Amino acid sequence: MTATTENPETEEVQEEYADHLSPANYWGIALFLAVVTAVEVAITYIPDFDGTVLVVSLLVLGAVKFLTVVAFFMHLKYEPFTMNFMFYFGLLGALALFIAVLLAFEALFDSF
Amino acid sequence: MATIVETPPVSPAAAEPKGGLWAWVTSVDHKKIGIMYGIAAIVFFVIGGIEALFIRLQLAVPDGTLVSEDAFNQLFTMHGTTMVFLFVMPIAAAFGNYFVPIMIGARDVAFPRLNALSFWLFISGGVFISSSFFLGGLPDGAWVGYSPLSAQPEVIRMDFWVLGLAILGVASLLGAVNFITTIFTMRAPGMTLFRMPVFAWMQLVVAFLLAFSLPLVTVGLFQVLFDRNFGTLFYDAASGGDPILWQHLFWLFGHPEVYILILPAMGIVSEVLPTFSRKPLFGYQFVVFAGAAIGFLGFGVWAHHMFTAGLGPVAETAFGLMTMTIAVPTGIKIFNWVGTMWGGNISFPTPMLFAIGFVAMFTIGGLSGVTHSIVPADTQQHDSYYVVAHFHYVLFGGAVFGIFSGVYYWFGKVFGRQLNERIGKLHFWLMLIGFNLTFAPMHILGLNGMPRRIATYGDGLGWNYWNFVATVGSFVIALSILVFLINAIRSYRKGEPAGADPWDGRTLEWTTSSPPANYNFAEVPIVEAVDDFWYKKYGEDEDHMPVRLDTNPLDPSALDDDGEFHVHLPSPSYFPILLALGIVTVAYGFLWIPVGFAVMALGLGIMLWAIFGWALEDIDHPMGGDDGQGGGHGDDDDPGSEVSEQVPAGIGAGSGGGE
Amino acid sequence: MAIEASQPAASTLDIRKTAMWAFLASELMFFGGLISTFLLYRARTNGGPGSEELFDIPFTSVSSFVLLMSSLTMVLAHNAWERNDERQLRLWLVATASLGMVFLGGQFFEFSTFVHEGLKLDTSPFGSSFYLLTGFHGAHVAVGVLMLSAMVIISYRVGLTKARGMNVELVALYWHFVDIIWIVIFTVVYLLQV
Repeated sequence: MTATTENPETEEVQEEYADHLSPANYWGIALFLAVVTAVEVAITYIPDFDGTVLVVSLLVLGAVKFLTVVAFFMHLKYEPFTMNFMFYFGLLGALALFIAVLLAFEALFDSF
Repeated sequence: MATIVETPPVSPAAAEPKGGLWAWVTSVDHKKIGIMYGIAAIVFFVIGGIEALFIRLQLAVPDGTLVSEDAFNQLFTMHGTTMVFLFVMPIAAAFGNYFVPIMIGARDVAFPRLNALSFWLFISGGVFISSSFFLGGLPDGAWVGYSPLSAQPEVIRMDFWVLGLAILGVASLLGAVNFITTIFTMRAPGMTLFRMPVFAWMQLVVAFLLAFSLPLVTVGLFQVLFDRNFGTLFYDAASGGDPILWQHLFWLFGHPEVYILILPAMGIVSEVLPTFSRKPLFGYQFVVFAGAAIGFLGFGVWAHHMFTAGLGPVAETAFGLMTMTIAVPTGIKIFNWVGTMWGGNISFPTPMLFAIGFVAMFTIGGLSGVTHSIVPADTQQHDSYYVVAHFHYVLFGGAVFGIFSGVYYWFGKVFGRQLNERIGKLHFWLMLIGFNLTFAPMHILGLNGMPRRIATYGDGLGWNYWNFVATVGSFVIALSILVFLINAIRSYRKGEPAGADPWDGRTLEWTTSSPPANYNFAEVPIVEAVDDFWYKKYGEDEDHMPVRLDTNPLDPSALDDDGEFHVHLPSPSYFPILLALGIVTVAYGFLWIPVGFAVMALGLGIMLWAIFGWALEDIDHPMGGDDGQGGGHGDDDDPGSEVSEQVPAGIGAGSGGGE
Repeated sequence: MAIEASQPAASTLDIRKTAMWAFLASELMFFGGLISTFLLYRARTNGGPGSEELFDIPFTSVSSFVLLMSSLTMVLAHNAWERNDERQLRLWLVATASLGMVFLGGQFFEFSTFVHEGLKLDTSPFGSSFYLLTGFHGAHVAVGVLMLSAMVIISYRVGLTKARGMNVELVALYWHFVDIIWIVIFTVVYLLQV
């Protein structure tokens, strides 16, 4: 409990910031993201791939990219529960609210 | 122990010189900021009240001629806007700012300069909106600013409203982030979340509500602003825009907003009732969970403000049911408050009177609220005085009574002198009678068909009598406020000294001196239970009755002590007020584009100066900094720090040398 | 800016990171509102051009890829900072800011093309909501570029060692956030056309 530590934050900093991934990992994740993006773009050009299937596929692929960046680039996977809670609560809340509003306008399915 | 402190000794007095406008303007101390919030809020309360009196005078008799219809529109718009955004929210911020850090055993909030910025943005926003009085007229689109009316560009007034709310929104959002961070990261050792006072919990829930609801109204505000100024078509029905979108965006904020308004007052009452019943809060965890549930469910009911907007039966049913559900956690809280008092050793000083008044009046307001949840009934009630009655019962009978309970409870702690009890009781009874006289008749008026927001009503509609009664009541309220102001001024000057713990309280703020020292606690408390302070004062006998222990568990700063205490506190800074000034300058410039571009550029320049100054304040002057970095300390910010110091025995872990 | 080091506390959460995550959660709601408005209005073209005529998917894919890669360079910058490698830190910060500026350049080009082809802010609800959404996103990118540039300058001026607080980490979080919002926008606005 002594407060004489010169730089209590630095010590904490050193522990917390010990990176869990190496630069090589990051390049690998970036490659993965690029590939997913390419797939997304490609499937919009396939004529038989349309309607609900297209919508769902694109949403899923987009979600994968989104969560990958959040979990690994933004480090959230390795962060304490509190930060995860705030972010995912906001995310799910936003999704729920906006689905509700668009439903209220009966625009949810029209807009896709 | 001299090696603990690398800072030259700073006496609490020298760290922030008490006198001087500059000290207040540059203060980053949560206590000073809290006081400034409180005083500004009371000023706006009086302004909003005067607006209400004009409304009541106009409506006292049929075919009133006191004010024009245009003036009336401005009056009811500003009464609502002022009371919601410039009184209730800031005064909750006043209490939150002052007491949350102390209640959790901290020395300040997580970001003191950001805290100051929130305050100065509030002042800027309030002045900005109010200045419209001299610059074309006050906003007149109602506090809800419905499109397409609000999107009409002809008159500048609603631009003041839109920009003003945007500024206020930023202030509250920053405050919310500040409080979430403070409560999550700066609680004293042993102070788990479930040992925090309920007031702190309610502020945490409010902070989340603000963080998640403000962005939505901000989107709406930008859309209205652009419709008004740049010809966008968000709310232009002829081109395919949909005015109902505004209603959704506004009420997605607006409903959580009303819980933002009431939860702090509920938190205050949850502190006051146990203190004056000399019993713990009944069902602490239930009260906390119910508060969180109210906040959460509050996001799911917004369209109950839109039951006459043509949402369709499915949506209306869903929202009606959700609205009924909110009564459940609210009811839980009410039962727990009653349960707190039940079997307690109750006394009735003024804070307790207001707290009990809150429980009773809020319940009445809640009941009329439940009637609104029944869609066919609400279809009749909507836009009538019945609604006005409902929300004044919950906001005035609820929030305002709760706020005054807090004022009477904590005035002594903040200013060192207690408010006068006899005058306080006079205030309470006048306010209770005046309030009921004003708003109870509005239920009847509404059910008899009187619409809201009308400047006059015809003779012979059966509304004359109760309107007149309501007006009389409003002046009784005004009288009670006058009584309060007299009490406040008198007591500030020569009230009875409060001492540290005048009410035999339960929570940590009562361990400090009155007012608390700059640094709040000489020794950071170590907490072992809810109401930890109480259990350090009282044990129990076989019948579970409290037995005073032979302890004096006050903080050393509250005991008569010759020692001063060494701690490095965040230095004052003028960058927060400067940044606020820059932002409001940009807002003013925007109003008169294209001529205003120069003003906007000036404002932007000021903002950049402030932002860089703020950011670099740490890097260039780590000594003056409060940035958590280690390193040398200097006294460039500490005038007159050559005060002879004695470190009181027992000061150890609490001393702050780690800056 | 934060006074956490002056007292022991019940929690070991980092103050500034907690604040940043709270702020980002709030920003999710903000962009959610803008995106929802767009979804509502995407087909309301008021006689003006619509997304099918205007959108150039290959072009936007490239600029999306650019922004995505800027997240890579950002995380590499952060990694360099953790290893106290100031040279690499500066390199990757400059790379990130540059990629950000390329993205912004692409946005400008795209917008001016659309204006040329008849879609202005006041053409239709579609136009209004498209520009408001992408405009706000672009503004966020611009602020990010400014912050990155400031980091580079500070790095040259006084150095951005690990002991100097976590500015790099905070800017990185903000930057990645701007990227993930674009991921949503790219998918929902561009790829999922009417």
